[in-house]
Order: sequence, then structure tokens, then C-alpha cells
Amino acid sequence: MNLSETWAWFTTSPLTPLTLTVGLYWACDKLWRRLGHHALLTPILTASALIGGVLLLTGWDYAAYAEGTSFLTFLLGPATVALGLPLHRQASKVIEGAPMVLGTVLLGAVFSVLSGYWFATWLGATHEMALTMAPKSATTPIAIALVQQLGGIAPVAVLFVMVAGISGAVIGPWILTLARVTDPRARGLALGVASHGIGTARALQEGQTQGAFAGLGMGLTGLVISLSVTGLIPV
Amino acid sequence: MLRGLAVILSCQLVGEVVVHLFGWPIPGAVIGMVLFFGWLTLWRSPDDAPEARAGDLLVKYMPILFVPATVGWVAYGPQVLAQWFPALAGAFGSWVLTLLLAGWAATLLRPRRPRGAGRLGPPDGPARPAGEAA
Repeated sequence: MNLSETWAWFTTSPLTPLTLTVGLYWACDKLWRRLGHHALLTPILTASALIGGVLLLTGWDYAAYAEGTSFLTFLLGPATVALGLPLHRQASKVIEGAPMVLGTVLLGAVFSVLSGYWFATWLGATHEMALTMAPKSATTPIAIALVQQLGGIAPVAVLFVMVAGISGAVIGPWILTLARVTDPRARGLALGVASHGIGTARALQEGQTQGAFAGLGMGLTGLVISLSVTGLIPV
Repeated sequence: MLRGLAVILSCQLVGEVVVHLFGWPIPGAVIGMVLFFGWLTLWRSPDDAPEARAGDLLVKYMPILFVPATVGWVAYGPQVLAQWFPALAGAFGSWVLTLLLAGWAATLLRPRRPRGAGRLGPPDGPARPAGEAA
């Protein structure tokens, strides 16, 4: 038997992290369904926690894990393009709702940047940390590019983007219901504006209308944040 | 299906090229989304078109595609540890208020059917849940 060679292959092949990710996500998804779609068991939250735990326990380097699963991350691009589909199916509603979409996106994007920066500052975060938080409602690739441009800490920006996204997936729909936001278009739009792609994926689980408006909200919010962030906060 | 994938990849490719050419600070995929929407509108693609089938597949499995990035808490969490309170409370507080503001703004600005329709758009059924594997 060729133990050491097999071990070397096992620890470096992308197959290992891919199997871990897909397998654990499947199990988490199953659990979530079994227990009646409980918000705190949202698969993206439980799967990320468990996989992270596995990495910590085994001393597995995150960079190596990310490299191995880059296939999944890569597919985010085509999946974002595919959001044109719910948009197409709901085209008449989207055109009819243009003033709502533009107004909400402008207000939400600007507020998200300002509140992110100032809340962090008032609570005692460093200027660098506050800058890093400003674009958190933009999708990951936008936020990273902007934070680099602003002089923040790019990898930490991903963390804030995840706080905004996962909060949206876990308690976003519940908060909107509490706040009596019942219109499917408004719910989708709010999730897309505040919680980008992860919020959009959650909105799609509520319905095609929610998904279409979320996808549009996400795309436009990213655009507005990238164009306005340097003017909104002291760099 | 293959044609659908080819169209989707082409839309992203064109989007990426445009973004790089003009140095725009947004991902090419977002431009690709607009292009794909334009393509579907142009060809009036029905729900069983290859584009729709490929698109549905990608959209359905979107949540799992975020997992490698979210696992990043393992690597980047420690960098926030020293200021964890302002970082987490600031990010979460700002997120909650943004969501509420956007939800209320959208509700106020939503188009209302003047007459005839007694309700605002047909309520969507619970669309296919993402990540259905079994």
C-alpha cells in the first residue's frame, strides 16, 4: 500500500474540499428542510460554520481550501448572469416598478454606506475598519475592489459583506414581515439592496417576483455604491 | 442546455471585457446579467428554452456557490477580534436599518394598480427552493 503518496494526494486534491463542501451543504440543507426551514439553520450559515470548524480542527489552511473550491466560486459569475432570467420573466412588473426600484436603490445604497462608516466610527472602530465596512451591501467582488481603492483591509471587507448577506438570509424575511413589508416586489428589492447576492438567493426561495427584484436591486446597488462611495465618506 | 450555457458564458465574457476596457469598478457578471436579460427579451425566450433551463439550474444552486467565501471567517475573523464590538454591532446595525429603510421606501414607492385589479400582482407560489438535491 502506498499510504504516504495517497495521503499527499488526499490533502492536495481539489476533490477533497469540494466533496466536503457539497456533502456538508447537502446535509445542512436536509436538516433545514427536516426542521421546517428554521431561520437559524439556513444552510449557508450552518455549512459555513461546520466547514470552518473542520478547517480549524484539522489545521487546514483556508487559502488551500479556497483554492480547491475555486470551481464553486467561479460559478458565481455565470450564476449572477443567470439572474437576468427571473428579471426577464418579470419584465413587465420591473418596468412598471422602475421608479420604485431607482428610488429604493439610491436611498438604500447611500444609507448603507453612510451608516456603515459612521456607526463603526461612533462605536469606536478605527478609521481603517470603518472604511472597510462602508461598501458591505455591495457584492463581494465590488466590495473588495472598493475597499482596496479606499485604503481599507480587503479580506476583512469580505467578512462584513458576509454579515450583511447572511443576516439577510437568516432573519431578513422575518424582519421584513415584522415591519409589515408584504409586497413581494418590495421584499425582494429590500433583500437585494441590503444583502446583495446572498439576499437575492434567499429572495428567490420566496418567489420569482421577489428574486427578480432582488437581482435588480443587487446589481444597481453595487453600481451606485461603487460610483458614490468615495464622495460619501471621508477617505 | 449547452446553448444556454454558451449564451450565459458569452454574456459574462462580454461583460468582463467591457469592464476591463473602461476600467469600471463593477463586476463583469453584473453587466452580463443585463446582457442576458437583453438576449432573453430579444428572442422572447419561453420557459423551456435552453437559456432558461441553464439559467434555472445556476440560479437554483446559487446559495452553495457562496460557501467557500463565507468560510473565510476562519482566516479573517481574527483580524477583527481586537475591535469585534464596533465591527459586528456597526455592520449588523447598519444592515438592519438599511433593510428597513429599503423595505419601507419600496412599499411607499410601489406602483399601485389604479383600478380593476384588486390586488398587487399575483402572489407567487413558493418557488422551487434552492439547493433541492434529493
